[in-house]
Amino acid sequence: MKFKDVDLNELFRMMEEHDVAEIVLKDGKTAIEVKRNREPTHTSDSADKTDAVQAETGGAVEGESNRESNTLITEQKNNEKYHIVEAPLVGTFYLSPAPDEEAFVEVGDQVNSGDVLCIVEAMKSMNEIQTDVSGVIKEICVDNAELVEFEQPLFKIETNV
Amino acid sequence: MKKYNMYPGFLEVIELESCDSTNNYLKKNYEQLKSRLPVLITAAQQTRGRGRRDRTWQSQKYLGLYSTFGFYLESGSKLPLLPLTAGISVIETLNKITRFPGNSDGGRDFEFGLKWPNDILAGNRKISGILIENTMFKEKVFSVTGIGINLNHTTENFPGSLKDTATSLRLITGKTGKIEKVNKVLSHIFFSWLAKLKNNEHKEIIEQANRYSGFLKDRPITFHQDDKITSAIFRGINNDGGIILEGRQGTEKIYYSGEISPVSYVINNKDKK
Repeated sequence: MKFKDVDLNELFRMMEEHDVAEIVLKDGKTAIEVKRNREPTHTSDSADKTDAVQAETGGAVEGESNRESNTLITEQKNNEKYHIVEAPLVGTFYLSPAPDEEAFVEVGDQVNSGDVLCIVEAMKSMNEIQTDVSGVIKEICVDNAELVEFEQPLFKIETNV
Repeated sequence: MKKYNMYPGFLEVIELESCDSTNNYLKKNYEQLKSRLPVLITAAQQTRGRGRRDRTWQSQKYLGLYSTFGFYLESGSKLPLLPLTAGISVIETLNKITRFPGNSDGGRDFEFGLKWPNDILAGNRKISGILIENTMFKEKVFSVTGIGINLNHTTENFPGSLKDTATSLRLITGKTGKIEKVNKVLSHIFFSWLAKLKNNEHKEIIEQANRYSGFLKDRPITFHQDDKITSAIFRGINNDGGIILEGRQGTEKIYYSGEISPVSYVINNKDKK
């Protein structure tokens, strides 16, 4: 899950609706913590009623958000395990040095620090991107000849410890 | 003019009789040469001259200039302007050598133009191509900037596919060019523009690039980006070196990769600023 996928307004609405006081979202190394101030202004009747409903639905929501949080934490741990190679500039991503040549690397390949992983072409200059860690390529995050943005993840490498 | 009689003192020059490609030679010998940068590798002929994405660059013996400059840039942030810097340098080199004593000056009936980002045209035909291959290290960039200039070709020297689209200095001036002399002028001019790039004098580079591509300004062009072909109006080059194109809806978009199709406009940059 990425922050860009999260509709904060919807999140606030749901927190209010289900009276969730606090939620933590994690994306890679960044985390957002949202806390809501709740004022105890209910009458005893409605408070009991609300609490009951809250216990029912809130519990469900909490369970949901716990599962969500667990997923997020798992993903964060996976990303921490992997070294991410990002695009250093905007351009076109190429997996091979020339159209008829083999790809520099494939998923599962062992790479050493300094090995060339890909080319990012910008303004007709071919920029070779090297890995600065040794490890195994776990994922190639973009397709060949795809346009990439600055700092877009290109490779996930499981580093050798 | 005296300084152009020799190479810049800081530059190591390696002259080869033949190699597969001067870019390849520099990349293969990087470990031996890295402590001697900047270097210029120049060859009388290339057996496998290359353009972008492995296109062939015709490199017969003594007909053209086949040179590669190897140097470091401190930061990857300079890279988007490097193709323009190289293109400007080639145009100014061609301007300079066609104005040497003995050559006609004001009477010239041709001009050189820049087709973004770094194709050099003369009379709407390609006279020079540039292939830049950079290796990005953590703290610096090793640049391999290869430059090919058609100097002494006759029409017969070009294969059929290039006869209508390529030209040479000889074809437009009637005179042959001495490769070493052109290399010396190019070296001075390129490193002078490179110093501007390193000193963040980007405005001057962009202004000059816009001036040399002035013959295309406000004219319709066809733009290729991978498999996508777009018809647009060329509005110029922005401060980051990107091309500004106006689409059919009148909205402007900036592109950092892609290629302008061959054009048939007469190059006249004199009135453009």
